[in-house]
Amino acid sequence: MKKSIQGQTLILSITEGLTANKIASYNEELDKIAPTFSEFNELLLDLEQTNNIDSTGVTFVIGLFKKAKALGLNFCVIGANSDVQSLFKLMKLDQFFEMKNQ
Amino acid sequence: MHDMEKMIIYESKVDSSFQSVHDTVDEIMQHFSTNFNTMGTKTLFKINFLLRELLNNAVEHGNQFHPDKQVVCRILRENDFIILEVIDEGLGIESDLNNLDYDVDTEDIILRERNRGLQLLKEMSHTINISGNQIKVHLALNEEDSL
Repeated sequence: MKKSIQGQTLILSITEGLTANKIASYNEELDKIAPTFSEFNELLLDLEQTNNIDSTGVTFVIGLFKKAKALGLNFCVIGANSDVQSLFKLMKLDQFFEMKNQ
Repeated sequence: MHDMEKMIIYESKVDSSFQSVHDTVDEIMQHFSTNFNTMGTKTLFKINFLLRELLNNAVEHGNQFHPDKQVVCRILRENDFIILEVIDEGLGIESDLNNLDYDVDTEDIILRERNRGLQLLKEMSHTINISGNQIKVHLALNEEDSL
């Protein structure tokens, strides 16, 4: 997971799959990054490089959304391919956060 | 598409870890892109996702990550269906998926922490059959899949 900052926006880029074999290490990284969330007003999750996903990955995204929401940050998924976007829509997650193509 | 016999496309045994599941699904998807390169991307995405759900569930809940236990993963083709078959070495479950109510759209239900995999299996598949420690999922091929 790569972290970058643009003004008041924190961007987290997933550089591998959002799959069960990776989620534990992502959560460890997130534990280190999460205390800085309150310094931003927006959190973007960049899924441009994510082709593989499972329900553990979906739960990770939801957890990230909940953390951002609890601190009043706007949360948005960017760069997700059409299949991942369709999956999130199937889960009705588009009711809670926006998805942009970049 | 013509009527055809049930044909095994892929079969292997998977060690009981999430990493083995990932490696196996990667290998299977490579096999599909090499040998079935006219299969549509949406169908390939579904196969990728469903296999991960079935195998993750088998290694975690069935085999409980036991290093001496394995999961059988079999993929078959029968007429207009791809059949994903997964057998673990656990005690098996009795589950009636029709009794699971996922139609309530409250925020708590949509953003819940558990049971998301079962819901997605149900929504993406044509049929699901669970018998003891074996689960079989039928996935309908569609017009984009000119196999």
